[in-house]
Amino acid sequence: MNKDNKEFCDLLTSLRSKHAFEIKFANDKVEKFSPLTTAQLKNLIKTVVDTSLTQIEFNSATLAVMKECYQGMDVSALNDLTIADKLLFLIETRINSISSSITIEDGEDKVTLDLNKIKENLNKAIEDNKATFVDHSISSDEVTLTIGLPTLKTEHQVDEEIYKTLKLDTDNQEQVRKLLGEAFVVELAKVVKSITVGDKTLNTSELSFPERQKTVENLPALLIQQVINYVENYKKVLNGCLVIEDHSLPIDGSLFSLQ
Amino acid sequence: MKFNVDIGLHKLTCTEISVKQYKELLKCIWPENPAPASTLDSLFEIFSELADKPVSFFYNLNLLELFMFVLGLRIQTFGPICNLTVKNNEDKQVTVNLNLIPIYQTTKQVLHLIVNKSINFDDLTIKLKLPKITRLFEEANESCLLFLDEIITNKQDSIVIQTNKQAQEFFDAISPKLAQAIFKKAEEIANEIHSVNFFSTYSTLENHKLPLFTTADILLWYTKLFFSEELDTLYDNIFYLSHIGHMDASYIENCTPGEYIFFVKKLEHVLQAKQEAAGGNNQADDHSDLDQMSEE
Repeated sequence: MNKDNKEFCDLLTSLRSKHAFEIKFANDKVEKFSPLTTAQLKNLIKTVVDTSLTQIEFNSATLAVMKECYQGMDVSALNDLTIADKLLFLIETRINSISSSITIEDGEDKVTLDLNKIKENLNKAIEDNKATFVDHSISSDEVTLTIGLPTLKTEHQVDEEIYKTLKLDTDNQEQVRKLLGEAFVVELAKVVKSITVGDKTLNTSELSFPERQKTVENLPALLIQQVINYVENYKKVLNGCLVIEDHSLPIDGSLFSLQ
Repeated sequence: MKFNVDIGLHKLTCTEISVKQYKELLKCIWPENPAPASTLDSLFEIFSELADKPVSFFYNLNLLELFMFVLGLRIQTFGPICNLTVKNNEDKQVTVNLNLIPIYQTTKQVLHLIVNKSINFDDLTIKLKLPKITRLFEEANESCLLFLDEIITNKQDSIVIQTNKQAQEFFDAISPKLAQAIFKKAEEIANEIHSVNFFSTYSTLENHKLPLFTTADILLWYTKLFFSEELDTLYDNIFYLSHIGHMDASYIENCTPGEYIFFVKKLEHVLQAKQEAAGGNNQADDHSDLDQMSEE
């Protein structure tokens, strides 16, 4: 880009910061973000391609856009935000960058949803489920786990180290069974933040994800059951926030279509 | 002789086209599907000579201005009536005497309507215009980029968009809401143009459309319609005018097409008279010459 154009694009950036909006996350921190640019919107929409990597591509695009739109001082702080915070970011960004209404296809019907309602649902769910949405401990015998909602850093790690490297042959039933089993352990491993045995603590976020998976596989069954209950519970709460009058809002690139 | 062509923002004084230049024009548009970029490049060299303007002048015009120039040239060269064969409402082939003057006037009106479209958004004024020919042939991921012309801030800083690449850079940097507004405005301009039907005043052609356009290949289609003499017919006529009419070929090439047509008709008339005088016998060569010569 030549010098004149660069100065002008800087001007456009400063204009966008005028329309920056604030989001209060589950940890009660308030952060500022600028609305999307058209280029960022395109990057989100183009993840709507029907492949096995669609959701992973969308997750990556979301994280990239979040960092680009962030108006705060420390962008690395975004890595500690959780998947609930990601939902808040996506909904607020959609409202502020495009509009608060979205038309979705539900079977043969076209339904218009009010995203402000979804935002209300999320904020209420966060308020009513504080115990679930912040990190907390569970114990059995001498093992104590710190569990909490998966962070964006963890989600990104899983996508990069596990899902993107998968080569799935759907005709190979043995492979499918193995991968489904591993996916189950992945969901559990995502929520386990640390493991304490006696006076020794392992911070699982410092491990590679395959190592993290292996560690979780060796946990006592009673603790695994509690982790399963936790995962089922938080997913139920979050998914419930996305439903208005029996219509569920998809959280993918189609959220940013201009409808 | 000189004549004036009004193409909206520019009023051009042009010299009449010579047969030599007319021949070059026919050569440019002779292929069945002439490649727009190279064909326009060749045509602009001819137009540049006629209007005494650099070739770059024509590259900076938009399609409607160029269309008005071609119309003006055609009206001056061969008159305002152009024959066009179409199927009428009853599915029969008919020849329409298309009057080019109303077409010129309609095009001028549409140009006037769409010449200054703008969007005010926050502190920005975005000006949209019909794209110049140069930008038509640049790569553009979205057609609305072609219409982006100038961006002005509230402090009156202005950036003129010169290329589609620049337009893309700005488009990527703006908000989706503004992008959508630009897209809608560009669509509005295109719809204004596409809604024009030059057949609307011809009652027998209600079911047909002769549209105004936003692409270079349609401009070339119209140019072929307005200058529809077959190239080999032109060559034949020049040959017969010099071989039978004893006219100097270089003299013919310096005439105007109107004069050339006059001489062709004159030669036809002379040959016809000769044939009749000879009783129509043993004039096989002349008779076949008569068949070969044709007029616009």
